[in-house]
Amino acid sequence: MTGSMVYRLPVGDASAPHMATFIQAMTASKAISDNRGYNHIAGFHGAPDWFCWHHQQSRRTPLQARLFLPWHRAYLWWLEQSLQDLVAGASLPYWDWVAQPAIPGAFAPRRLGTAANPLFSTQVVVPTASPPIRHRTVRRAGTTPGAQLPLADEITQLLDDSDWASFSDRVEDFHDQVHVWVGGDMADITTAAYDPVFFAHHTMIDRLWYLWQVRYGNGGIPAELLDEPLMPFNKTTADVLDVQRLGYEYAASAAPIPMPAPVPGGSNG
Amino acid sequence: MVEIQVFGPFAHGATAMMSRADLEFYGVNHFRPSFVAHIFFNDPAVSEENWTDVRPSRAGRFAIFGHQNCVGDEGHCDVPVSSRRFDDRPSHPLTRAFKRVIVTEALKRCLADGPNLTVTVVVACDPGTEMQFDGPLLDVRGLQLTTFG
Repeated sequence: MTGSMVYRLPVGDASAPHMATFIQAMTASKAISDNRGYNHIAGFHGAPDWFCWHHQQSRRTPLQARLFLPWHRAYLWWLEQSLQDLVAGASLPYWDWVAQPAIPGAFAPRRLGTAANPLFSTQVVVPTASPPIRHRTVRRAGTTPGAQLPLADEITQLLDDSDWASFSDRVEDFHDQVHVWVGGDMADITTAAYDPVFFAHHTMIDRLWYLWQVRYGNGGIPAELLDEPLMPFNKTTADVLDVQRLGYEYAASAAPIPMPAPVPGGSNG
Repeated sequence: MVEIQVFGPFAHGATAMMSRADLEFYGVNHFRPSFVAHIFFNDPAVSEENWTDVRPSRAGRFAIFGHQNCVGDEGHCDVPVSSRRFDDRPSHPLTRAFKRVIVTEALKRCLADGPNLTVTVVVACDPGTEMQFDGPLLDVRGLQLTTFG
């Protein structure tokens, strides 16, 4: 419903209602070549804009500026809002790589029926890069020796870690491991966000932070980080702590319930 | 590409009373292809041929999501070493990384080996990656083993 909060659900088959809505929105977004479209937003992370926050320091605080989680939450919110501009109710699905240790089925095929699958790959065009970047994203899942997806017991232990700094470092490393495992463009910060599976992966990372917040709240996050700006999203860390204020929540499933047929002239109450 | 780096032996200073042990990597260069690093304790026999995640000496792993190549003009990937007083922009994206690996159980297993520890790190990246860097894949400025009571 327009203006309502959305549930972010696990990646499902392309025919699942939430996936169909997402695919419709991604198709529309990829058709837009200006600053409203997917390619422009993908460029926030690596080339050409380089806004992403991984290991940087902030001169506004002497603390280690662990903004990896807040920055990427704002990034997901921005894309989700842009998709909702195009298709009401669109939400980002999460790829639970523990439960589903493979490239999700909806992201794997080149085509969905007779149409190109917008989740398969993206044509990257960055003419201002040196040399200019112009290629279609690829994946090389599982080809890096020793690369692993996180395991269930590792994530259980992660969520038991009540210390913000330790949790942030550890979840970022699991994030890194998934990037390496997917390989190809996903393994290069420069173009990773052009691969649509990037956002399904990061939505899972954001979900883990959400689950951690449900347990431990936000008390452990240093106050000095709360005012840190998250460029270019017009948000600070404090602005992104509560997912409901960003218009979404996480759920494991959501089944629309058919409404009874209206009774002419009557009521069901 | 697979490379092996050995650190130590060094006096680990840990006791059986520890509740947690972290192996900390300071100043990790991520102007590199993305890679995984698997860590082994007190295992001089680990090699490019036999490192696996079920090897008893394995202590943990970490990964680096790297910047594979420079796609800017000259100087784009040079990290400035100083800043001006009024420049509070975020630091350069290639600011070196901090990584920690929890190695509690692996270190406890090594306590019976004596006071010293040798850390072997096996580092691997996608063999299909185009290599455009000098030096080792794992370029790190310091390591520290920290335990907590």
